[in-house]
Amino acid sequence: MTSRKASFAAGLVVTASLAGIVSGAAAQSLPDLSGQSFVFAGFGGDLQSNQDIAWLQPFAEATGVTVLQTDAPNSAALATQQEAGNVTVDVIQIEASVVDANCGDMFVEVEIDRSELNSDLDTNACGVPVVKFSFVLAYNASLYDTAPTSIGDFFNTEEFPGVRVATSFANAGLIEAALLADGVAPSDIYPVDLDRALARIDASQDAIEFRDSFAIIQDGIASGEFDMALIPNGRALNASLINPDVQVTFGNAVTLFDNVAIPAGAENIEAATAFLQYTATHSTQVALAERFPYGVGTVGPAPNLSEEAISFFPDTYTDQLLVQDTDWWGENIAEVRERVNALFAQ
Amino acid sequence: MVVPVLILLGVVFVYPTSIFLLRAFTHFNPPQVAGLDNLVWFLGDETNRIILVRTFTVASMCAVLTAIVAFPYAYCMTVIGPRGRTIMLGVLLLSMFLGILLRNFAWVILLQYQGPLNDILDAIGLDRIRFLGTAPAVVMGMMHILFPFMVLPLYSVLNGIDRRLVLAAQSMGATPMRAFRQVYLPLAMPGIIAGALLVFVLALGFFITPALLGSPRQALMSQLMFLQFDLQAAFGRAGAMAIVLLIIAMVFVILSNIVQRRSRAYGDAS
Amino acid sequence: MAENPGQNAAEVRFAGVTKTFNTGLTAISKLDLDIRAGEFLTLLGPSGSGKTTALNLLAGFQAPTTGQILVDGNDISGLPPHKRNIGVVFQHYALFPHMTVRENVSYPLKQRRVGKAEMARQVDDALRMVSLQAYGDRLPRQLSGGQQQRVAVARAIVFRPRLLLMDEPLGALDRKLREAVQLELKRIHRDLGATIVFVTHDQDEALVMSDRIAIFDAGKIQQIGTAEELYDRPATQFVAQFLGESNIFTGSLRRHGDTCSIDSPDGVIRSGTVADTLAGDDAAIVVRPERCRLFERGKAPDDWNSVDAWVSDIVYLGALRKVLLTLASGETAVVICQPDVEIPAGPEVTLGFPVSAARTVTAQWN
Repeated sequence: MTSRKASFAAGLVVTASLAGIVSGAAAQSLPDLSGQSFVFAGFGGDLQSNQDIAWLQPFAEATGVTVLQTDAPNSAALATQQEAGNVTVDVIQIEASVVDANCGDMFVEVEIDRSELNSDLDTNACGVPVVKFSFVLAYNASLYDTAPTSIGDFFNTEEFPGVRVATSFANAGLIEAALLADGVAPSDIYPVDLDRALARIDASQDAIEFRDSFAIIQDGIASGEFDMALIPNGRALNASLINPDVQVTFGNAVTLFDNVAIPAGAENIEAATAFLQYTATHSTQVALAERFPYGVGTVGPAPNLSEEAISFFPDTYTDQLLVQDTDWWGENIAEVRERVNALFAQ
Repeated sequence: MVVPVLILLGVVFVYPTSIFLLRAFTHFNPPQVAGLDNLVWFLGDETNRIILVRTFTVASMCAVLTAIVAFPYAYCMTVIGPRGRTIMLGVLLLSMFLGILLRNFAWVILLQYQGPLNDILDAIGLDRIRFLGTAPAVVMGMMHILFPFMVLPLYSVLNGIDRRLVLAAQSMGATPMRAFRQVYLPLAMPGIIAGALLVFVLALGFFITPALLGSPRQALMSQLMFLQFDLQAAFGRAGAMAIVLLIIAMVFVILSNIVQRRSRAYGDAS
Repeated sequence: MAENPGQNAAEVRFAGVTKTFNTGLTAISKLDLDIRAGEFLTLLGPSGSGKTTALNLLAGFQAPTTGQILVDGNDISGLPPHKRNIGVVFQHYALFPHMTVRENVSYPLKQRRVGKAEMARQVDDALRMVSLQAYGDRLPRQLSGGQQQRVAVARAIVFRPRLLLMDEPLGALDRKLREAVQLELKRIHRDLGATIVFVTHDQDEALVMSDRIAIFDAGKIQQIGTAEELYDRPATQFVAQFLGESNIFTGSLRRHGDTCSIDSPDGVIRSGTVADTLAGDDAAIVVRPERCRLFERGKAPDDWNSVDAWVSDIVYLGALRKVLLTLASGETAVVICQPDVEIPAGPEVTLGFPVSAARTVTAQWN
């Protein structure tokens, strides 16, 4: 395990230096924004600290803009700020489905060059698709002779016995995994048959542990508390660094992505728009991917990843992924939350 | 001195709380549209009622169990020497300073499947138990957080009880057990009620502990409020829930006031 | 009831009882004490002298370190308080604040599972005995101090204990009330016939109430006897000074057969007695102030002890007068004069007292 860790760390160092070169090249065409500033609101944690190095610092250096950082308000908090006419953030990272559903009212439409974006992910006129990640099936490889091949195996307690765990969050792969387990073909998942999915979950409720926190699940799969889990690929990687027996399958892994977007009422539209243009380039997104194994929303040469990171990186498995229908989720998430909540409460 | 404090309280507490509660009647997410719809929605929905009853049950269990555990601790504080008392008080305060998150994570480590508690079960030949994600784990974690809130009011009452009363009862023929039950316990009641009420009201609003130690099946009101407020942006529904919780808390505060006032031990002399 | 005291009263014996606390403090050391059935015995002494500890040992609240405590000949050292059947009246009464007067008084009966009707009768009796029939439904805090004290007594006697302990029960009352309650307690003692052990630091209280008084100091009994015995024939300087007022002369002792004298700084003082308890030559001669008289300087009778004195003050105590004196040695002395006795014009006078009134005692304080 230590050698694994060491080589992964070495890989990070190499990719980090590469990232500097690449983003330096992209900086050539950026406007002069000296004297201006904007507030970037990310998800915090490892992701945002890597975004700082891969995105914010190079952008600030090239344009002279001052970047302030904070934690992203969720859609409710943002709505409150907008209602009160006091929007405190200029660029916000948020689920793509939220921007899809609220582009033009909660979020500002931007005119930027979208040529480098992956057209499958470029689903609205307000946001830039970033940070593609998958809900993978992580499992303790020492327990199984044959590895699971699909997240639908989460429900397959006969072939893969053991304690499985998922979050109660509505949109975290569980709904899709239940349909897959119930025999729905990956291509027929959307629009989701919610009754069918919930019935399948209900049937297996006693076999599944549920937790309210990904941190608890990551810790539990690493410590051996759980044998199988539905978690984001980055958390699976973190667990595997502690316990090398933790492996993942990306088979039909529900893959979704975030947007960076400008909320209506933001005060520094010019700088924010320039930053969105900057994130809409492949080199910028690759610079982040090479530091942290979340996929890109752009098209272009694959990022240069270490061996360990590659096996936890969504874009390595492009042909296996189940790309989420953000439109369906944008329209239905509120109902799914209520229904899932009701299911667990009984 | 009083006026600025009242103004401060008004600005930072009364105003935002009122705004939040008012939204129950001014902010609507379909299918709620007007008037008391949010309250009707809350009380009419089976899921909500289940979670409300569960919250009430968990809070009551916390109050009762914490009282049972805290009583010997508070009693010990009244009989131990000043140095021992300082240490016992220090342990309480230290535990409060550690913060809720840290103390809950300590329980995660203690209770996990490969954790020390299960290692002990294993060592004495018993099966490992999956504690995490269960209601007992949640109650245990909450009791740990709430323990000081029970001990402190209880201690202040126990400390005022003349322990010779128990000796007096014994000299009159009461066994130590009966003397405790008939004399000490009734006099300790105001402290038990005050502490239990505090614990109960605090427990009604717990969020982090059920999230960390429990599972969605142990979700409490605050998690439901989080869902409606934070995820669904249904401020009116969240406000309605807050009103229901507030009413429950106030009912219990009033009830305990009545009980206290009727208590002969501490009432007026009239 | 009082005709046959043995029936309603217990006999108590402390045999070599020592109580040492964890702190190392010895509160009582090798105490031997016989308490007769039906007597009113007062344990009198300054605070910290061990009298309350003796009471706590008897009630069972504390266990003796060594020695035995016998009630009617049975060792009760291992018996818990609730099995001892001893009535206790506490300092500050220790009434149950959450119970009415009636509930307080019926508490001992409830523990003994006395039937309802019988309980009511006995509670009524006890309340009548302390004249509180009308107060049964009050709570303790609704009563005056004197009434609370009477509830405490009623509660201690309601189950007719053969032994009743009282720990400074009158300490919280004002003087006038205290005197009334003293008489009431004596009456209750007479009616009840029980043995009463009464602890106080107030010598007047002890003199008024007791059949016998045991004077405690530093964990030991200094002397035990009737009030008269202790007053007239104190064994030690401590007893003489603690109980009543005394004029004391110290110095080297000379024995002359059955009599003796002391060479004090104020001259030779003669005494007609040698106390039985007197050990060694460390002695003092005491004389009570009312046995002394004042004379014009040098006019005292020849066969009396006489000492030069200077009047420093005269205090009028109603009928009596108390003359405060300074002696040549710088010591002070007191004379109590009857109203018909003329006090010589001072300030130079002579203090005189008969040799028979002077008593030799052990000089050390313990």
